[in-house]
Amino acid sequence: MFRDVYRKFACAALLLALGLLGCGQYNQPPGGSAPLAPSAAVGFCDNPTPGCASASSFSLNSLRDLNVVVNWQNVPEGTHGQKVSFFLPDGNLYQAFEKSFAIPEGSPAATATVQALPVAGTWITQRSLSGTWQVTVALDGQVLESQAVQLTP
Amino acid sequence: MRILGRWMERIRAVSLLLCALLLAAAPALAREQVVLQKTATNPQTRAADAWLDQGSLTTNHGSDTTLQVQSWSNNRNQRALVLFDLSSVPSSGIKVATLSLWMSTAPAATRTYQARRVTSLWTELGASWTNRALCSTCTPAWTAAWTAGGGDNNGVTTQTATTGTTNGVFLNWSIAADVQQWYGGNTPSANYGTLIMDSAESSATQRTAIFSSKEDSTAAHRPSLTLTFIQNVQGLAATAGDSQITLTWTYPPQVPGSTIVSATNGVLILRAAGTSVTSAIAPTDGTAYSRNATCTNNVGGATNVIVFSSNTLPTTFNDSAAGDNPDCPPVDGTTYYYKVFAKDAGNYYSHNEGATNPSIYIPMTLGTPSATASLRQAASWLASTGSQTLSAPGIIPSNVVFIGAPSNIVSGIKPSDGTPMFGWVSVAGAITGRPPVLDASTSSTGVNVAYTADADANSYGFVYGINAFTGDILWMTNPTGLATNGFTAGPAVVVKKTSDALGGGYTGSHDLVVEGTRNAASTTANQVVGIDGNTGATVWTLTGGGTNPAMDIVAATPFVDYANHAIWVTSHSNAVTTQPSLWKININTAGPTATALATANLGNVSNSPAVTFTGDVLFVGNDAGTLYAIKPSDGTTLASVAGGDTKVVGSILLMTNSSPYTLVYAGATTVKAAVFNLSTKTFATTGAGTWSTTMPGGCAPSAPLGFPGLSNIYVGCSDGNLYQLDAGTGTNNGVRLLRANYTIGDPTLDVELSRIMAGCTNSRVFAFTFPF
Repeated sequence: MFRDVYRKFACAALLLALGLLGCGQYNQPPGGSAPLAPSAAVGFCDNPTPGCASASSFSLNSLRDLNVVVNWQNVPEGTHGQKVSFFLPDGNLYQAFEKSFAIPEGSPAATATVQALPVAGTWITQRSLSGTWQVTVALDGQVLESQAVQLTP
Repeated sequence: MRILGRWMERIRAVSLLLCALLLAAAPALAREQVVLQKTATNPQTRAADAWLDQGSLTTNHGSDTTLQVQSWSNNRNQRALVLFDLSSVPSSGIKVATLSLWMSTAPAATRTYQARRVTSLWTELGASWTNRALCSTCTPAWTAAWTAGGGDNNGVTTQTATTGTTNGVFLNWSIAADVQQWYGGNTPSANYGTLIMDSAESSATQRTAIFSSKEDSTAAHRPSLTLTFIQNVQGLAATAGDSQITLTWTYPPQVPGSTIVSATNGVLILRAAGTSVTSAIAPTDGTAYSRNATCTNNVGGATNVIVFSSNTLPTTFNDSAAGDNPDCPPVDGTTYYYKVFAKDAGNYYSHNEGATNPSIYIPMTLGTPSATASLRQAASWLASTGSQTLSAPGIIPSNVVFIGAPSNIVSGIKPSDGTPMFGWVSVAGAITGRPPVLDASTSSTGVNVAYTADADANSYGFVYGINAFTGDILWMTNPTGLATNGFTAGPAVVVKKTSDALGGGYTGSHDLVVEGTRNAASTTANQVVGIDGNTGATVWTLTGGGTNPAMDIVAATPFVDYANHAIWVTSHSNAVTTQPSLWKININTAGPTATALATANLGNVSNSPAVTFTGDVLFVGNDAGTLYAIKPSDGTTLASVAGGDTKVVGSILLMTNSSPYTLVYAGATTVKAAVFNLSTKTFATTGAGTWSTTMPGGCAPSAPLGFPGLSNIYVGCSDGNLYQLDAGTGTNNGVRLLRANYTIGDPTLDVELSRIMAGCTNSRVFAFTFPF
């Protein structure tokens, strides 16, 4: 008797859990496995083309903008907030950029964004703010990636 | 008995009146609560609301008396935007923030509505599902679209509210986390308001709620934001002596319309030696702190020592053995940084409890004691700017310091004591150039006005006219109408009254704001615009290419040459010497298009030019360190010389008013004086009248600051110091430490108050008395 009740309760709990998962924030991937967490692959380019060749060091003599190319994976549908923050070699925040992007319903959960940091003619070149900069990339308030980039004199 | 009763009533009435008067006169250091809502007595000038309709993508609903939120399939969702004017609540620690909307019509089935922080500037009469701002009547007309339709937001649900199905109720959201960011609690975020949206949009069945907007005739039903907060102290200043530093401050008045939640109490002061009190730490609300005998009672680590805690209302703290700190007085030769937390009777402090950097913008000052008077230093004041700012602050001497910052924020500060004149004003993008400021008697607008320009995350740029005393935005425009023209330089202003005073020449009736674009995607088609300073209308546009030579990015503020009735603009040249980088424009260009009167190919130039008072020579340095003397009439080169350093930083200072001209300029690691003789058309970088000073430790100097008759030159450096150099010899004769190893920006002088101000990469502007 007790075992039957327990089995029914366990089945109900399992169904409820599956139901909750189905209503969860992230897309259910084919095959019913757990949704993958969003991730970001970050690259640095001297031009804003998403497929540009990434590098980790740039000369201030020739760099016009530092372009941060973010390839987002497993981002659930809906409107999202991306924040790219640039930290000076002295550790202080230089500038942060917030930008929204939308993953439409039923579309692939991947997209690419480009965020440009103006360099040529700015305080970075005028005041020789060269050295190791740290760049963080956040999605919906959570920092998912932090990378260093060299700006050389 | 009846007579006695009347007397008792009178005594009670008089007592209540006295109490009221005492309360009114008392400082307002307390936990206060205020309801921000548009009423007859609170216009909420900067407030806005609108709703966005996915079914009508470009329709604006900013004037409606309602706000609608809807979930419905086939792209028929609706969302609401609300923005409050926070200017009446100055620098404060935010404890509670509750957004309330009156739901006149509930959805047929209960829904969950999210509140999210908006991340792009929008306007009430421009916002729609597709667009965030537009001006169809502007010249030229312009439109700014959301990056993501339906309102750019941070993707984070600050809080949800459940609608229920009952009409005529308030829905409430706690948005303290967002408001704290608007007050700098984490990385500061500009205040663009809150987006309300259904948590499950695109439902098969239409689910709609209708709320009252700020246009609703029933004031009590309009959107409201209830804030509970503690204001920071004001006017914090330091004075250094021998083994002592004295701090003084005042208490702000109670915010109009607020109520007191918790009575007044006192302050808690943390001190750090040689470095700032950590921004990521703060005292815990509800906890009392005090200094102990060994000075080991710290907050968040050994760096942040409690040196003073008072439950009265002190306005001074004498940090010395004989004064208020017998246990751990300051040591001569060490620089100390202080943060002063206001607190209430419940031991709630004026920081943003719960934020990542809760104490980042707590009032701070610094001082260095010494037995030798000349070695003592203390800041007149420090002001928070929301982020690093290396551009020189704008100023109306003794009236206002106007600062633009890359955190999309402008602020106005009293130059006498650093007190904010208005709450932070949010603009669309980063401000990286100096905002020119005109007083009301000089400006054609008749008000104290600052002009500034920005570039947002998408390189979209606006130019603004802003009331420098109140922060009210008089106008904003996209002067080129294009979506890729951001601005990084500060604008220049052709001032009608100045031109008239100099004999005329400018024939326009209004001041003219001049600004150049930084469109990095183009090396040929950048633009310079002339903008009506009163209205924001574009008067003329010079476009690179076509009838003009190719124009690369403009990185420096143009120069207004009243003597020659011209505007001079510098630009990059795509790193070649076959493309112009110096441009002359007629000051009276009628428009709508402008043609360059003259150009010069000088290689990349990131600095402003300077023209002599009589207009006989223009001086400019390029990014390779070459100095040029240019003939203003036709732009030809009179002479050039290698400046002796690898580049020229900032505009060249003219220290004499006639030939031979003494020029002071900064390079990569040096500040130098050179001489130009107009009659012989020759530069001298060595010999009489010249000097060269290598900055200590080879630090990178800012643009130098000085003018004819001033005996010293002032320059910030990347070692955290502000240096005073003898104008005649270049000798370093004074220094003020702001923050070791941080970069100090271009300084500004208030000659009426003898104050020098400069920003820093640590998000503060520092003010000192000069000469040092």
